[in-house]
Amino acid sequence: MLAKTVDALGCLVLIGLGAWYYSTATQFQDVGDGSTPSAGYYPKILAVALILLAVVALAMVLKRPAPPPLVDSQRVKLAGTVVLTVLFVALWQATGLFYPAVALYVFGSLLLYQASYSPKALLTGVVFAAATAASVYVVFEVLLQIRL
Amino acid sequence: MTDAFAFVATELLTVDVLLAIFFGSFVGMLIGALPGLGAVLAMVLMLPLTFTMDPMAGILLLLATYQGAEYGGSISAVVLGIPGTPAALVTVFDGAAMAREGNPGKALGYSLVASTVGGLVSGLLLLGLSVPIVQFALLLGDPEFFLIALIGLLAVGSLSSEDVVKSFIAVVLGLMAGTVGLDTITGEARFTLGRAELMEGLGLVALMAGMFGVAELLSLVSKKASGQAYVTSRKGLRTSLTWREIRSVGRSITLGSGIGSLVGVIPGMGAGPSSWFAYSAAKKWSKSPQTFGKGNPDGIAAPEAANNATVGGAMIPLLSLGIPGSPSVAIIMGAFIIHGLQPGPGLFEAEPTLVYGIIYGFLLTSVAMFIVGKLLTTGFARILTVSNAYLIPLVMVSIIVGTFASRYLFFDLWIALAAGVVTALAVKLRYSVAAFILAFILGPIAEVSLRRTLVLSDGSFSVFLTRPLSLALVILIAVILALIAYSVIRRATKPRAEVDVMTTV
Repeated sequence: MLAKTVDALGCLVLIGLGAWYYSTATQFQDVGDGSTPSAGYYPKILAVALILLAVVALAMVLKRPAPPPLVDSQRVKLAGTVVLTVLFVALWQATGLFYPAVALYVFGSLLLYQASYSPKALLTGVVFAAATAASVYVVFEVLLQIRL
Repeated sequence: MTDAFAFVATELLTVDVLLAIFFGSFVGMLIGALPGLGAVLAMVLMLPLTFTMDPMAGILLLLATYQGAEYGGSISAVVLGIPGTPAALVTVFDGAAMAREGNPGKALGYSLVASTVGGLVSGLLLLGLSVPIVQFALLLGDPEFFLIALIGLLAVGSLSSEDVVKSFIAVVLGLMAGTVGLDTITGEARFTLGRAELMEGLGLVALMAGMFGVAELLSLVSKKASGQAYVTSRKGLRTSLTWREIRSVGRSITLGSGIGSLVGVIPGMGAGPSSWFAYSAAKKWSKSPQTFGKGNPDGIAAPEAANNATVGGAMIPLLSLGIPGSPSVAIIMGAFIIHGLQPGPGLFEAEPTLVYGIIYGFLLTSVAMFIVGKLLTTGFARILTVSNAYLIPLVMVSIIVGTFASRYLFFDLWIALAAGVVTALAVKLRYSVAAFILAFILGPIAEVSLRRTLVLSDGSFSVFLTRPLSLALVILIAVILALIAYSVIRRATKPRAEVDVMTTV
């Protein structure tokens, strides 16, 4: 049932997106005597197409039986992966310190996926995180001259 | 012929190019062999390496990766019974059956030989067909280019997902995403939300990395095996075949190579469908169809030849018309664009050395794949024991670094992450990712051609009916639309269970 609701909401979001896109497209002025299509000409066609297709899709979603669940297993790991990745990028952007951020991210991911907190698992995580950061440094900064 | 050999010797047999080809084959095979990580992800990971490379070496690196990944997919299909790539799904039937009989090496041998021949055949087709198609393309004007782009979009929309309406929604969304940035005709900023980062449009690398990299990893995490190590036997993995064994599958390889090359040309089809078609055709024409699924070598050779032949086939519309037919080829187009090159008929005139280098180099990628496969297949089977717990963060870091390196913008990283999460959800709801990305790339071509056409015709659409080539393309579009409508109506009127079986197969 949740999947069907999300599917229907998705169609409504698309209709809203189409409406916003159309209204933005109308703000572009015609060029010259009007025979040259404005920058909004093609977007307006796309907006109309999107709204029509989304309405058809919504009708089909409401008519069809409920689709399978969106996430059938590993919900914690899935949400954890997204959160850890967002934190990694945010930390890197805020501090400019790429290598500590990458090491923390890899360490956190290992803990999340292995779900083991024994001293051996923690030590393995630390070693793997450090090795990953070092490998990224060698491959990207040294060999490819990409500054991180 | 002498000129061709001289060209290959001077332009391709250089350290840079050969290193790129062999490295691409190695990485492609490695990633292709890992279940869940397909050719597109392998190419997304390799794309940043091309930024600092010579264009020819960079594009051949991607092509070698693509070819290697298509073969690599068969390694896990045979050894584990789990396809490494979607295209290797069919190979599981006879490959895993032959492995269970104690002959995994033979199964991999058939796969390697068939993949190599498939790649070579499609490479020769690319060599033979590109120039005539380019000569034809030079006769085309803006109206025809718009209509060809439209045909590509219709084909992608109708073929890339079982839900045609959602597939076309993905096409329209891709076209809309392609309008973000400065308008190439009037110079006005469109849909940029006031962000300077969007003036040049949405970053292709960021979108690709998010939609194919991040989303793929999220899908891998959501599978139950994410923390487990794969266990496999590495005995009997030598890929040697006798000449008689190779000859016994000659017909299937020829069939698969032909089908794969042709299917590759059609936008939206790709390696998955081509291997299914080749398998079905080989079974239909076999003298012993009852042995398919029980370790018949033809059941390995035909689909494996087809999925590699698709690579060369898909390069034909890209190089000759500038139209990518699959997400993997869209990444190759991205590499061209990053180097300031626009694939299409103009490139043959502007950069003939580069274009012919890529075409001849494509043949070399097949040879390199054979050599790397011969030497390292056993080693790749060993890699299959790596736990996803280690693999996922490693690949995610590579994707993030690669995305950042494309424009040095944190904004691109947020785009990639958002695109990844939205894509993971959209795929579950049966929206087509391939349709979106191909439309995103074809969108600017379609828009500029349409608007230029309307400028030249003073806003009249009759120009599409008065030019003979345009008229022919309009008729073709009408036929495609009729077929799409027929297909939608047939699906709607068939019982649900029957439709599900058809789409699964």
